[in-house]
Amino acid sequence: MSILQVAATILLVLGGFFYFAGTVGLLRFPDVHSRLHALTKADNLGLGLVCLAMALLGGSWRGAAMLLVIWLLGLLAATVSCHLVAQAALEPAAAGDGGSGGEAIAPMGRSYGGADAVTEASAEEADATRRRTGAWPDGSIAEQPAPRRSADTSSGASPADPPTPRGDP
Amino acid sequence: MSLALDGLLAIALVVLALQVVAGASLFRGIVMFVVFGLVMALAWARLRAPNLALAEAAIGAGISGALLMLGYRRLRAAGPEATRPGPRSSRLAAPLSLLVAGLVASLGWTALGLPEALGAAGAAVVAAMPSQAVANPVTAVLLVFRGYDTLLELAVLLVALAGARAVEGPAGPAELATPTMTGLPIVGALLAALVPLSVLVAGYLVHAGGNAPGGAFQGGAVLAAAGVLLVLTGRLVPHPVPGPVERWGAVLGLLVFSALGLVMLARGQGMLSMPGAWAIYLVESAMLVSIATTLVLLLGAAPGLRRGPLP
Repeated sequence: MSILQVAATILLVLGGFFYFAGTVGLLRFPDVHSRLHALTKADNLGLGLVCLAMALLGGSWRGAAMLLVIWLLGLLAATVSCHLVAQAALEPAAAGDGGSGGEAIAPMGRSYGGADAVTEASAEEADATRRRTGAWPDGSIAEQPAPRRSADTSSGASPADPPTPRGDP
Repeated sequence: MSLALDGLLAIALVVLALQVVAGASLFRGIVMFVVFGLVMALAWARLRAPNLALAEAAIGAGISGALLMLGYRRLRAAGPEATRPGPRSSRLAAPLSLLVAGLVASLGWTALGLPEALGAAGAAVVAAMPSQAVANPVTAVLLVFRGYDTLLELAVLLVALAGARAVEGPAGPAELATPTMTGLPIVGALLAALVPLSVLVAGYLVHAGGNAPGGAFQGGAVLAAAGVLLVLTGRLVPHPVPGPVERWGAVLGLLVFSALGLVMLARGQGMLSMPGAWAIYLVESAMLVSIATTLVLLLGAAPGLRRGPLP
């Protein structure tokens, strides 16, 4: 095993760890903003590490450049959709459906990325929402609309904000 | 290791497929459908069918997902009752699905037991490849060996567009409100990066289709994705009258393909035979424009599109 392969393996394991941590955070964190925080950090870094490992293993500058573009595109998509989902969660409209419309969507909205993640951010049905709210025993969802304004300045917005300037061209 | 990966993919596909049809809500089903398309693309890649993987990711997951999502928005606009999943199970559901599963299993078992097929078309294509102008067997099949099929596929796309127009009526369905937040600077930045990039990637896919996975269908889906983004963010708005770009764009592929075929027939070389690599790229480029235009018009649910007011 060459030193390159060892380095690539370490990077792959690290990347996998970030993905794992991000997924755990997505499933376990109580509200939209902390979930986004877990997800974007983990995805950006995890994807970057995996791309770096593959660039090392690929052994061609052309492949490495293409992997870099893939990573940058991933950053762009993750940043914008994170920003939009966070905005949608702050919108009063999102709190309209029993205060958990945006909440219910956050774990899923990223899977199709881009702008339509947001157009549907408040679009979950009531029964599905109820189903999912039952899954959170700490009742944190009921509090979602209340800290909305304070989240703007302090705790809620800060985890979601850092990735924003990075990918913003 | 690779067996474990394949097993995981197969299990994931079955679980996702179940989620698509038996999800708690329509919205969840649509999201699961998109995820299913992505995993399916991975499965095709594992089966060494990169062309199919590209098409599945772009058309199966991307365009169909967007189409379902837009349909869902219209249903929601119609009222909360419309998005509720209908009555689901009947007493026949379980025995029927068992029967179908048994049928599929026995078909698969039979297929596994068959001896290697003799005289399969794939072997004939690979044998004939050295004399062809393009090096990608899939492109050769689409445009050289089975050009007639591809021409009719384009016709089907056009008929689908005409059918949608006929069903929607002259005015089309009621316009959906442009989503809020499309005026955010970050959305403009995303479009500024993604739209030129998807034009570039679409062109690259057609160019690469000559000797590597790619081609007009994949490229058209990528180009259509840019158009869909522009429609969703209100940069392009539906219009009741199609402009020249939409009119010519929708028929360009069919026009160029059949014109070339007729010219070759007039020169006594057999209809739809390709005089060289340039002809293949010409037809593929025209197909790219037509496929993209048709998909965007279908997704926009309008006869035409105009530039919208910039936020």
